[in-house]
Amino acid sequence: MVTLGARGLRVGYDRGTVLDDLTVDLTGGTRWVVLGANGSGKTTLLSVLSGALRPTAGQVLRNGQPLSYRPRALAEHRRVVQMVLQDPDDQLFSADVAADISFGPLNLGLSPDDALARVDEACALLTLDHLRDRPVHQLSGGERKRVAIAGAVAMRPQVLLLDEPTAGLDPEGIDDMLGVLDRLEEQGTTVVMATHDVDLALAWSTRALVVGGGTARVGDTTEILSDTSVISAARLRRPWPLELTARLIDAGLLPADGQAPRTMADVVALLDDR
Amino acid sequence: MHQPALDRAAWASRWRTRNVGDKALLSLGLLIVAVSAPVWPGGVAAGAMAVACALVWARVPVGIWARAVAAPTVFIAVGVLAVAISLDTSRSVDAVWRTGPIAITTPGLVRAAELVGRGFAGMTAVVLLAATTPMVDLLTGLRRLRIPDELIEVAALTYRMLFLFAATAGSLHRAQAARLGTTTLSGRFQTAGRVASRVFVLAWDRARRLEAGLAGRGYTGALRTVTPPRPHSMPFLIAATLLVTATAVLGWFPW
Ligand SMILES: Nc1ncnc2c1ncn2[C@@H]1O[C@H](COP(=O)(O)OP(=O)(O)OP(=O)(O)O)[C@@H](O)[C@H]1O
Ligand SMILES: [Mg+2]
Repeated sequence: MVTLGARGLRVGYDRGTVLDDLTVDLTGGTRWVVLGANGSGKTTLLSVLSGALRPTAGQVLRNGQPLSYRPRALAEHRRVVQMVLQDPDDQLFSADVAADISFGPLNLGLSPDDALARVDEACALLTLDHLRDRPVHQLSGGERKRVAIAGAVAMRPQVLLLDEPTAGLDPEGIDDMLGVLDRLEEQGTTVVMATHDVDLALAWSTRALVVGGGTARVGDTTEILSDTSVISAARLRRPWPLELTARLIDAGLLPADGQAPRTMADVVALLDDR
Repeated sequence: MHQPALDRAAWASRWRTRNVGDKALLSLGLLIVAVSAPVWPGGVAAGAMAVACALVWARVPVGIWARAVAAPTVFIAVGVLAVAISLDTSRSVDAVWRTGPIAITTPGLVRAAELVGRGFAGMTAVVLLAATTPMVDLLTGLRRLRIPDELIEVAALTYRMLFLFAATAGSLHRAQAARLGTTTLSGRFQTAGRVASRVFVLAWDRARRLEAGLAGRGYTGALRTVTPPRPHSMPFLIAATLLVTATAVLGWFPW
């Protein structure tokens, strides 16, 4: 299994630093969320981890080894770590869905036949067989997102970095997306998702990384999202299951030492137990 | 989003999954008959055959087909006018109709009719291919003809980007119109200018971001892709060859 990390990372654009002396280790789980307010540096962090953006100081670590930016080493990194950008139109260059998905596998050096097999595999995994015969310019934003993810999945990465994969999706689209992520996880892929949806983060992920003010906090999602100081520093809010139980505890309707709920079902179970 | 009728028809075509070479054989065969056989009966036969193939065999919707041929038809009509009308200051030739130095003569009319026949027949033969084959498939087909990959990649990328920029320009324009930017003529000019300059900047930005996005997928200078092969269809090839041969025989037959 591949683990990513960063040591003393500093990244900035022309107007100042976004990440400052950031040291994290993405270990202890395969479902990660990167949380933070708008402009806190989620996209920046994922880009750095993917090797697309070079930090001004510090290192990206893969299995504890610092990432080198020589073309060969970078290509090796990209075989293992793939990032899907927030805007699928930044990634889809062909009007033909299958042709676009075949791009990554061909760049891995696969033969055309093997590349086509990877296209079939990715389409099945993302359930987009019905989109294959339509041009990209006829697809909706959510459908394009699926195609963009298929393009990365076809390369069979071990770590998949997704920038806001659920933004702009309807409730059913979000459920579908989470189903896709479950299937990826079953295949042994570590998924790192940037989002500012704290409810989704609590329900889906086991580990969380919160960025804000240049630095980061890492921990179990429930623990991180229960910590009001972390949440307010990052300009987030408490997920509703945690908020609700906190209030019910204050009102004496629930015991204070119960298990923290993550979903609607968990909350209902807590109330049933009483 | 705005999408030209012909492009929409091509993607939805019953013949979408046919081998491009098969379709090209039919379309180019008819095109060759249209331009090289005598206009009567060859050109007319080729044109009629191309229209029938498009509307009956490939079942291109009539409305879309009509819209696709409308623009070239106007083009042919304007060209024909210039051929039909001759300038005759000496009033020496017999004219069917004249006003001042402008005359329409019988030979002029015959040449004009020939031009209409050939032009229309050739155009319908090309539309047959265009209405059943999306641009990306045509480009993939060209690859087989040993056209350099770089050219095909640029053309395919341009095709994809055009729709992106058209969508951007469309939404920018609607946004300005919604804020009443297009109620006066000068406002309309200003809006068009703003949209154009904004799209230019966005195109630049898009290119930069796309390059970064592709780099992450292992881009090293070549946009190589593969698509599932489309097998030849023997029945289709035989039918197409028969149709083209029949048209050619009819076209050169000394009536
Ligand atoms: N290409 C760039 N040039 C200059 N500044 C940038 C660039 N990209 C991002 N920034 C700045 O860096 C900061 C972090 O941006 P980033 O995109 O990483 O935030 P984010 O957490 O992904 O935000 P969002 O939730 O809005 O996607 C922002 O202040 C942003 O303005
Ligand atoms: Mg972002």
